[in-house]
Amino acid sequence: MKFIDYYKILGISKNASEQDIKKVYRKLARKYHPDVNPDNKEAEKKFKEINEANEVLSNPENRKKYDQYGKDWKHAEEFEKAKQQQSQQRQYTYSGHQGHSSFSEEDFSDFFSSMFGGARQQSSRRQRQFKGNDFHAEMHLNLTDVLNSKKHTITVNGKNIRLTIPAGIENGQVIKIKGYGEKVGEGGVNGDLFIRFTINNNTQFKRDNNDLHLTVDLDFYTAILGGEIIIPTIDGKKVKLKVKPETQNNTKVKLKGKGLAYYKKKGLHGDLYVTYNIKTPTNLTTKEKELFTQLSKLR
Amino acid sequence: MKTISVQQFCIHYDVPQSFIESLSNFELIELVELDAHKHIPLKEINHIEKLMRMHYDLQVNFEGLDIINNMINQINSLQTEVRLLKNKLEFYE
Repeated sequence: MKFIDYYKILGISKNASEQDIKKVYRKLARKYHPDVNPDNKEAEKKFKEINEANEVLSNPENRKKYDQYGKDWKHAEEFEKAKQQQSQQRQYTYSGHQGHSSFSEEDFSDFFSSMFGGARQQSSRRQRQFKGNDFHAEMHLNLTDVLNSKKHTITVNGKNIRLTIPAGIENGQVIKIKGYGEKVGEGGVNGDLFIRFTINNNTQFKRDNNDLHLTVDLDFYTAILGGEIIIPTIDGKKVKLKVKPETQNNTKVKLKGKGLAYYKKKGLHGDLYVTYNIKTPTNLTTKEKELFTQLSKLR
Repeated sequence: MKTISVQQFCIHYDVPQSFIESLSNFELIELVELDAHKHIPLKEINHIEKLMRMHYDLQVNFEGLDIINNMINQINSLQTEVRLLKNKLEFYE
């Protein structure tokens, strides 16, 4: 746990007035507030920092304590204990900014918790929410995990939730699980849970929405004379593919329905496109060279 | 459609009814009329909470809320487009 310079975070000098702090804080809050920076983790982090800095510096008692101990904050606790023995325990009163409604204990740094004993008690309209806050979670899956709809158990805020992830979910897609956000009291509506999926492609196939693409090497003679090759499919099976005689390099063939399942469209699949990469023979023997020369003279 | 009356909502959140009326006047939210009373559809609540925070915590006026709302909608659609393009780019990499 390291010392946090709240003055530096707000970009103010140590002798800034309460008015200055308020003004700077409001300006920064407007810039970094999560509501005006959707899906921006950097802004969210920054907002938490400025919120914490404001919590300390806008409260005269907290500021005094912070200024008094500064980098020596680790001794503050011992000193406070001694002070408490002498006088009645005082409760901090927090005023000013209401804060983001979803701010909780965990949004404050260890440094803050250690020095000031955790987040302030929020009051008034923010606590009496009719609808609970939404929760946001991230889930990492492999491409092979989204071939079929599968049941997964995830832990959100210490609670296990069983859910079925539909086949064909896209990388970066967000799904909403209604009512699995913050719970509120009777008469209210629970928040929702939003899960963002990161799909890691652990296969040799390239994904283009629901279609898959695969490049396979094709030997020169099969390309010229035609034949059959075996190619893998995403589900681990193998299929036999007829190669037409005189096939050209980069020829693309479509295997209908061998792509990925469409999201929430049961039975519907994309296609698999196979591109041939024709390998011409190397290290030719004298005999082979002779025969190719003869062949070339026939054209 | 599940709703909550404007009156009940305002008591719950401790905000004046004029705030909700102004949001409605600026077409930032949609209210429905049931039994001669204005109601808020539940699907609007998250959105109203955001507007409340911006108005009361960040001192953004209604004109500002309107601009921010439009820009956030634009950001959201651009983010969706970026996601789709990123996935597409991965295909060519």
